[in-house]
Amino acid sequence: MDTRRKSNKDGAEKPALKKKASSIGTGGNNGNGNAGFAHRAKTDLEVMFDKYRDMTRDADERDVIWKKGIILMGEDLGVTDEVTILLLPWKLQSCLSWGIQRGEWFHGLTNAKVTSHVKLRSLFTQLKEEVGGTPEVFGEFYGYLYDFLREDRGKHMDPSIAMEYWQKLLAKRFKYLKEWTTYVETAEPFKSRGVSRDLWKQLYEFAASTESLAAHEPDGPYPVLIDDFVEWARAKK
Amino acid sequence: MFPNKTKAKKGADTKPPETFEKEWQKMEDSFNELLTFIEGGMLTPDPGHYKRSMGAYAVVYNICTKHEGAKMGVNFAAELYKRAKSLVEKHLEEKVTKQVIQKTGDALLQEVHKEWRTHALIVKWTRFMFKYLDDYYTKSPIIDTLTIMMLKCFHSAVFDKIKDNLRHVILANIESERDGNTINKEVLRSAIWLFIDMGMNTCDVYDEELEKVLIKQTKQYYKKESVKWMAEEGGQHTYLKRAEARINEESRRADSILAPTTKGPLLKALDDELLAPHIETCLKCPDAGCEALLQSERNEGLGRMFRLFSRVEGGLDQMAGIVKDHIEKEGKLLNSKFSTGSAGESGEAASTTYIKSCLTLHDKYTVLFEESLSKHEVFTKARKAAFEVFINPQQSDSWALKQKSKDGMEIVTTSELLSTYIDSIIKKEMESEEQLDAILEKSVTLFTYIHDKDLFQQFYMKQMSRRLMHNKNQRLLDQERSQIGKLKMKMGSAFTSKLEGMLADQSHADDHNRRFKQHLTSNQEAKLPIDFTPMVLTTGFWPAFKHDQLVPPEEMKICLEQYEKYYAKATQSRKLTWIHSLGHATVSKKFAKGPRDMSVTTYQACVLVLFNATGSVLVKEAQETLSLPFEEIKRTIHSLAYGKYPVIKRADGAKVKQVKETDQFVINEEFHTNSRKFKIPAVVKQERESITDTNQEQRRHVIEACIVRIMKSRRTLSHNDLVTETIKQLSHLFSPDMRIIKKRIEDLIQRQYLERDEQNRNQYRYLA
Repeated sequence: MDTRRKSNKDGAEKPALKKKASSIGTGGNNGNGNAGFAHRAKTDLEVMFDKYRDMTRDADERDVIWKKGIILMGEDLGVTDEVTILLLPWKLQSCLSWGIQRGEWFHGLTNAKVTSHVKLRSLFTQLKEEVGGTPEVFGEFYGYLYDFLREDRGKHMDPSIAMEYWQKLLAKRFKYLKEWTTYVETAEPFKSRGVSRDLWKQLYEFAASTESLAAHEPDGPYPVLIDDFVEWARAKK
Repeated sequence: MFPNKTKAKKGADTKPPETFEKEWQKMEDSFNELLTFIEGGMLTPDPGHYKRSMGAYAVVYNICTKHEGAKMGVNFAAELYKRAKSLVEKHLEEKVTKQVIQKTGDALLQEVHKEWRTHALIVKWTRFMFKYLDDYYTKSPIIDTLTIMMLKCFHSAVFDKIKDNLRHVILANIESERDGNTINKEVLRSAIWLFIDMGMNTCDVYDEELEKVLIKQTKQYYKKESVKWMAEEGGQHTYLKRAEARINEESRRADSILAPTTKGPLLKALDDELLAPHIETCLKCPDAGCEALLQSERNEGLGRMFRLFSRVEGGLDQMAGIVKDHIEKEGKLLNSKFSTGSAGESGEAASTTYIKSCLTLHDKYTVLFEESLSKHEVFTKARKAAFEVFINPQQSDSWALKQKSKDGMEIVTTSELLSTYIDSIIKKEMESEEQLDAILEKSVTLFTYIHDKDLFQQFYMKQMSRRLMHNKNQRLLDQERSQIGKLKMKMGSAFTSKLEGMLADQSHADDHNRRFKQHLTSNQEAKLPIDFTPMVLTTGFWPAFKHDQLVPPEEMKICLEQYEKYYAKATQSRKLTWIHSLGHATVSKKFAKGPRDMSVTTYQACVLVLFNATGSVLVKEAQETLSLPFEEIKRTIHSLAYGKYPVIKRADGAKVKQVKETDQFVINEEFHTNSRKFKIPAVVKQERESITDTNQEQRRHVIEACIVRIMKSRRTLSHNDLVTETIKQLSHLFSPDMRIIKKRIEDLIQRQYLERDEQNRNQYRYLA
């Protein structure tokens, strides 16, 4: 499972890109401008893809929209909210961290019947609605983000990234977010090792299903860190 | 033969009914004669009467066997039967009932007794007279036998009229006897049995008319009594004694005068009134309650309590609860005695005292259970529960075992104390083997109460390894073996396999040494400069020992190399690593005041040998030459210079006890001690922490292995089920902390042995 998580750092190892039907969007271009079939006009998707992908990189890495491009796209589309822009990679099920590959872009957007700038904009609105609906869908989105946001290739997510995004994602969905961030800042093994996928996911479950601290049972299936948190929080009250 | 037989036969066809009346008159006469006899007080008629009765029988026989009855359409047998019945009835109504009805009280009893006895006789003889009817006529199912018929006559003529009075008198008598008066038991009994007999082969009359009321009255009586007793001053103390006395009394009375079936319900009524409502009061009474009895060890009182409360449902459970609490309290007291006791010496005496007192406590109750409580299992269970509480305190409990150490109070576990105790017992070399065996057996009983058995195993392994290396006599080995056997019986062979391995190594050691000596003699080149006895330990069995880089002196080196050569030849593909920290040696020195032999550890010996080369040794140099860590050198030199036998001393003679790198040491030529041979003890590191840590580490693996095993077989399992199952499977070794299990589960998820189910967060799935 881990083989798909590759580093996003420039100059680090070469990522092993998954070539998913990459011929669909290429049209024989190979990323080199209008060589070959010159007389067909570029589709909107192609235009956008070319705009946002990083041409400064070499070879395969060029066929990916990296972080800068994603942020730029967000600005262009008027999607200012950091979280909302993440909806797109989720929809496309991008498997790189902070990267949208060519195949994913074209395949995914075509399936979603998005062929233009305008439609892309409205896609965001649609996705926002989808995710704001049931907690399960948001949970899926949230869970997906663990691998997307995790830049480091290690086994755990860096604590600072986790903290940042917990604030962004769970502000309105986690009653005890403030206490949690206070507690977890100094708690081991979080501080030194970071957040495991299980902890990330279970925190959302905890947030979604816990009405009050008093009701939490320490012998349940939640990770130990969450149990400790509840104990600490109860003691504070 | 019947004298009238021939006569009867002759007149067979011709006798008219008038003859019947004549014959009947004979019967009536016989009957009246009988009555006269009985009323005359004679219980056994004279022989003549018998003959006459025979005559009566014959009459009946004759009448019945005549055929003319059938011709005339008259059933003589029925007629006879009817007349017999009315004879009896008449007699009863005219004479008996009149007498009986007038009487009351005890006189009634007497009268009934008399009349009933009389009636019995009447029944007997009348029956004899009319026996022929019984042989044929009453065989029909709708016709009562003569006996029954006559009983029924008595029933309706006499019994029904007096039964209420009679009952009243009977109950009054019983109550009177309860109050302490004497009564006429014989007539009472007969009156009671009248009720039984009136049931005619059933107990219905008795049950309805007498037993029911008796039981009700009994209940009321004892309800009052119990309240009365309790209200008296000091009543609570004597209550149970009185209750038991009463129960015995009622039991005796029931045996002697009541129907056997009444005893059960009667005694139950007593239990319900005397015991059941007052159990709690009796148990909790401050001076005479269960707790108090336990405190003052009044086993007899406890025995009584046991006897009585075992009659009541749930009574023993309450009692056992108090026993458990009491034992728990006593145990916790032992704990605190240990924690506050002398930590003066190494605390060894304290551990022995503690374990000994635990064993004594345990024995005390074995005696109590056997003597007074019939070894009822509810009490053994209570004791087990109590012991398990105070023997396994949590760190945070107030009764946790603590010991003073350099850094303050340290937590000590029973696992360690018990192991240390067994260690001291085995080393002590008792005279009799049975004594030793008995003590060891008891200690194993105590062992079964310990929760952290794996920790005990660690301590035991460490201590046993030391025992085996220092002491090699056969007796010791036998004792070790027997102790391991006892543990094996309780815990299975997996628990003791390593211990057995250690023993095996020990016994092989001699073997190897013999062969080694042979090897040496056959190899002329090999002559060892010093006496050398190695011991080979198989790595898996023995506790982990730290490896060191010691550079031994030349003499030792030769021995080591020789042995390595021999061993390589004797075995295949094995690697030898010398653990010098375990070895010991004897070093001799001619001091100014005489030669001395010192028993020292290998390290100490190496340090001493350094002085052979130079008179004064610099600590730093020693460290470099021997290639040991500074801490070790420091400790070793400290033990040689500042222990009980200071064989070396500081070159500059300063009175400091610290050892620094720059210090110089020389031999203390002036050293003197009385004994020629003595042991210089080395400072033993405090191992408790390291053993506990190793154990924790091992537990992590054990828990993980257990979880994986469970998940592999069950495939998917809920969180609670997994935890419960894990705890269950590990319970015979130790009681795992919930938190640790959860952490292990998390870790296994991380390492992708398990995963959470997508839909149900509460469920785990095994990943192949």
